[in-house]
Amino acid sequence: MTDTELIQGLINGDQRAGRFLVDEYQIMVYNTCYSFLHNVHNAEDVTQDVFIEAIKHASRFRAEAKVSTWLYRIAINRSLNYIRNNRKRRFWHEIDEFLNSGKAGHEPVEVNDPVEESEKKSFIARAIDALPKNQRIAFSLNKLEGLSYAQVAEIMELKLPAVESLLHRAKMNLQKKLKSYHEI
Amino acid sequence: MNCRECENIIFEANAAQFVNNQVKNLLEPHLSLCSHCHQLYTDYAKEMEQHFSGRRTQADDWFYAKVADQIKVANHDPVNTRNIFRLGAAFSGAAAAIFLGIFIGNQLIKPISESDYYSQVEVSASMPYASDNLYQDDAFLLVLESYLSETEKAAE
Repeated sequence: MTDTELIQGLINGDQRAGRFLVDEYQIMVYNTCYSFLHNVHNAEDVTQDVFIEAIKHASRFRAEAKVSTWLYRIAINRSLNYIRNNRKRRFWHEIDEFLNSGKAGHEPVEVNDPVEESEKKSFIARAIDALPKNQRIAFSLNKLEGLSYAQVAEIMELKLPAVESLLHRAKMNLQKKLKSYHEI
Repeated sequence: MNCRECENIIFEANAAQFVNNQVKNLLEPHLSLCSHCHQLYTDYAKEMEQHFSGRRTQADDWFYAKVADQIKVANHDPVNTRNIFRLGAAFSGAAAAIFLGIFIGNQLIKPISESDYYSQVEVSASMPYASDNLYQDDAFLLVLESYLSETEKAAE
């Protein structure tokens, strides 16, 4: 099935097209989400959201890109949104904890939070997560997903030198952080 | 190979190259001599390997069924409750910011409001000059006063 046939099938509500999309790209989407979230359950949830968005909004697909590139973009945005929303949830949860800390019968609420899990993460993982958004995206796609500079440039809609610059700055930032960590 | 070159190779490599020991083989001679680079390599490689172990290589046959179920649920629930809560939080935040702004503004503007201005003027008008009270009860002033009056009398 070509990209055009796939997208046309999704727009027409063809279940075979939906199944083809999920079967063909689920590993790629899941691994991309995992490289941002570092958590199996969260990555699976976000992967489902990515496919739901892709199937429901197939008409938004622009024909100049490949389906895989489009899915990468949705996966990255969804993963970063998930992290951001969990940060907000964690903030309100902490306020709630603080306000109810003295009250009897207050049960702690579980927050499924990659940020909370980051406390258990290694220093290197935290240093990667702390990179500026674009550097982090470029780093995750190139170093964790193993995509080429050209593929990263296509997904991020940037020119090749811009990707090289992002990766260079990401490398410098990591080097700086790790150096200060090892000197302590 | 020096430490700088070693670090460059570590940061240039991707996760797969750590897992298949490609990086280790390349750096082995330097790592056996430099404890700093050895530590950096060990920490970094561990992280990359850990990441790699969480990746999926086999597709889940039931995944499409899960996605289809979620789509059905979403179609039956046209009002997205998550969005309502998200907007609710934003509106509450905006309202709280407005009330806080009004409160702070009120506190700042209060001292120069009209009634306060006149009451302050009244207070300052009725207040005696501070210099009036200067040395009023001072024993030294009494001695000085009596000395001056005596001197005046003598002159007369």
